[in-house]
Amino acid sequence: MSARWLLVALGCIGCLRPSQERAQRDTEVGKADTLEIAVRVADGLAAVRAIDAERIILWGSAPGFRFTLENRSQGPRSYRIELQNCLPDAELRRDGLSALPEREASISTRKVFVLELAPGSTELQVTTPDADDLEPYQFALMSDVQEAIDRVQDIYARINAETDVRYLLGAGDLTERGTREQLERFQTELTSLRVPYFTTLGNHELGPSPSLYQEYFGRGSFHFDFRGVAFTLIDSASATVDPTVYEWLEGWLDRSVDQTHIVAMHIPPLDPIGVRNGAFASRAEAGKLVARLGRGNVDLTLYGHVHSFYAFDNAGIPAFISGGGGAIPERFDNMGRHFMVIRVGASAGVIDSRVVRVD
Amino acid sequence: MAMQGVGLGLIALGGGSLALTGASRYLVAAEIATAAAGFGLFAVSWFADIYGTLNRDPGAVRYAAPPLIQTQFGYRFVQDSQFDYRHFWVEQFDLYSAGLRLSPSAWLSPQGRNGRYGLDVAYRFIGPRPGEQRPLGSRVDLELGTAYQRFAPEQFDTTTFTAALSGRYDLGGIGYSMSGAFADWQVGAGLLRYTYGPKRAQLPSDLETFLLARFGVGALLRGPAARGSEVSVYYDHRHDDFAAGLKITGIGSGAIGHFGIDARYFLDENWGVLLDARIGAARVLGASLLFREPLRGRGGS
Repeated sequence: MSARWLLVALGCIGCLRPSQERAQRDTEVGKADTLEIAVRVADGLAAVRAIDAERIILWGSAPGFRFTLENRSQGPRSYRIELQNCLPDAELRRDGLSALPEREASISTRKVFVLELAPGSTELQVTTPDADDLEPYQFALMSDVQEAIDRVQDIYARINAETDVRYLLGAGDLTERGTREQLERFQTELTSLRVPYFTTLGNHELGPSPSLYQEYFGRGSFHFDFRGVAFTLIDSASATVDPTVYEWLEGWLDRSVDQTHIVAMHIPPLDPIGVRNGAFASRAEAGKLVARLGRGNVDLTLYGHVHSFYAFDNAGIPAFISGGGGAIPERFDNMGRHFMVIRVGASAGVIDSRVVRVD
Repeated sequence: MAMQGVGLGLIALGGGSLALTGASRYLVAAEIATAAAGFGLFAVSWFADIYGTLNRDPGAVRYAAPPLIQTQFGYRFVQDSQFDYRHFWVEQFDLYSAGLRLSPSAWLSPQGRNGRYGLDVAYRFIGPRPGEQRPLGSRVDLELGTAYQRFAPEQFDTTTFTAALSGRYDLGGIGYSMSGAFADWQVGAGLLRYTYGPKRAQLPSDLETFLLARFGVGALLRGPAARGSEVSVYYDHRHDDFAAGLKITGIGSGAIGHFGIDARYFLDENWGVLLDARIGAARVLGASLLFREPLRGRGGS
C-alpha cells in the first residue's frame, strides 16, 4: 500500500489542479438515466444511490432539495422513492402537497414514499415543516473520524442527546482512505444518528483514484439554504480549491451576501499554527480565498483537518477548526473528542456556539 | 553510509513524533525541522555517493571569490491555476561589503497587476568575503528578509518578514573525490501578514508564522565555464512565494514545499546566465542575465 501511495504522490508532483476531476464529477451528482426513468436533482443536492424501473434511492446533502423524475414509459408508474440522510421530519411534496411516507422507518433519517408517476416529468421537493421558519436553530459540527470509526457511536449518542440540533455538518475525513469498505462502514454507523450528516470530503477520502466519495455522499462543493441561513461547503481536500469551484463560489457568495452565511471546508486556508502547514499548499491562494470570503460578508468559517479545536479569525470572519471525531488527536491540547453546537438565525446571524466534549 | 543512517534516523524521529503527537502545536516546528534535516542529510549522502564515482577530475575545480556586486535581470514564466498572471520581469542586486550583503529584488508583472518586492540583508559569519578566494567554499550567513507582494485583482497584499541561518557546506571537505560538490541549507522562521481589501474598505488583517527549511545539493561546473558556474537542485519548504507548496492529493496535502533547479553559467569574469526552474503549487521557469563585478587586488577571481 505504501508503494502505491508513493506512486500516487509522485504522479501528483507538478499537478496544478488536483481537484479538477472531482469538481467535474460534482456536476454529475444527482443525475441518472435508465430506459424507463430519469432523475435530475437541482444543484446536485442529493446523490443517486440506486435507480431502476421500480425505485430510486437518494442520499441527501441538504435539508431540502428539488428533483425531477421523468417517467419515460407510456403509462403511469407506481414508483418507490427512498430518501436517505434526510431530516427526521422531512416531507416529500408534489404540487405543494405532502406525500405520506410508506411506513414509519426504523432509521430516523430514512423515509420511503410510493408515488404514482404519470408519463413525463414530475417535479418533487424534499422539505421540512419548518423550512420557512426564520427563527434561530441549532446545528452540530463534527469532522475527522478516520480510524476512530469503532468509537464513533459514543459521539453519535452524545449528539443524539442534543435534541434541539437539526442536523450535523461535517468538514471531511470521515474515513482513513475512502475505500468502498470504509465508506460503507461509515454509512452503516450513521444509521444510529438521529439527524442527517451533511458533509464535504477531506484528504483522507482521496485514497482510491478516482475518489469514491461522491458516489456515496454526493458533491464535495455545494450550497444550500435552510431557514434563511446559507451554507456553502467547499472541497479543499487537496489543500487547494479548483478554479471551477471558485466560479461556483462567486455565485454562492453573491447570492448570500445579505444572508447569514456559513462556509465550511476540510483543509483551512490558514493554519493558526502556521509552521505546521495544515493549510493550503499556496499561501497566495489562501489569501485570495480568505479575501473573497471577507468581501462576501461570510459570517462564520468552519474547518477540519487539524485534530483539535481552535477558535480564531480570518479576515475578521470568526473561524473554528474542529477535528474532534477521534482521529489521532493533537497531543497536549487538553481537548480530545468533541463536536460543536452552533446556534444561527436568518436575521440574528451566528448567535453562539459551544464545544461539547465526548471523552 | 553513516550519514544515510543518521538521515533516516532523523526522518523516523521527526515523522514518528509528528504522528504520535498529532502535529502538536508545541512540537511541530521541531518535528518538521528534524524530518527535513534528515531528508537533507540522506539526500546529500545519496548525492555524494553518485558524485564521488562520477567526479573524474577533482583537481579541475576552481572556486570563485564572492563579487563586489552582482546583478540579474531576466524573465520568469509563472503558471499558477489560481492566478491570471503569467509573465514577470525579475531584477535583483547583490551588493557586498566585507561580511554584509544587501539584496533588493523585484518581480514585476508587465500589466502591473502583481508584483513582489524584496529586501534581504545578510551577514557572513563563516566563509569567503568579496575578493577572498578560499580552497573550500563553505559558508554560514545570517539572513534577515522582508518581501511585499501585491495581488491587485484579488484585492489583497502579503508582507513577509524572515530570519534564517543559511549556508553551504563544501563536500570537498569530506575527501578529494568530492571536490566541487556542495550542500546548501537554510533554517529559520518567518511571519506573514495578509492585508485584505482596498484601502478604503480594508478587512482585518491576518498574521501567520511559517518555517524556513531549505536544502540542496550541487556541483561547480568545469570546462569552458568560468569560475562561479554551478548547478544545484533543492527543496524549499516555503509556501508563501510564487512556487509555494506542492499540490499533493492525499494524506500529505498541503504540507510539502517545492523543488527547484538553479543553474548559473558564467561566460567570463563578468557575464553569465541563470536558469531557474521550480515546481510547487505553480510552475516557475525562466532565465536571467547575470553581471558581476569582482573586487580586484586581493587575489580575486
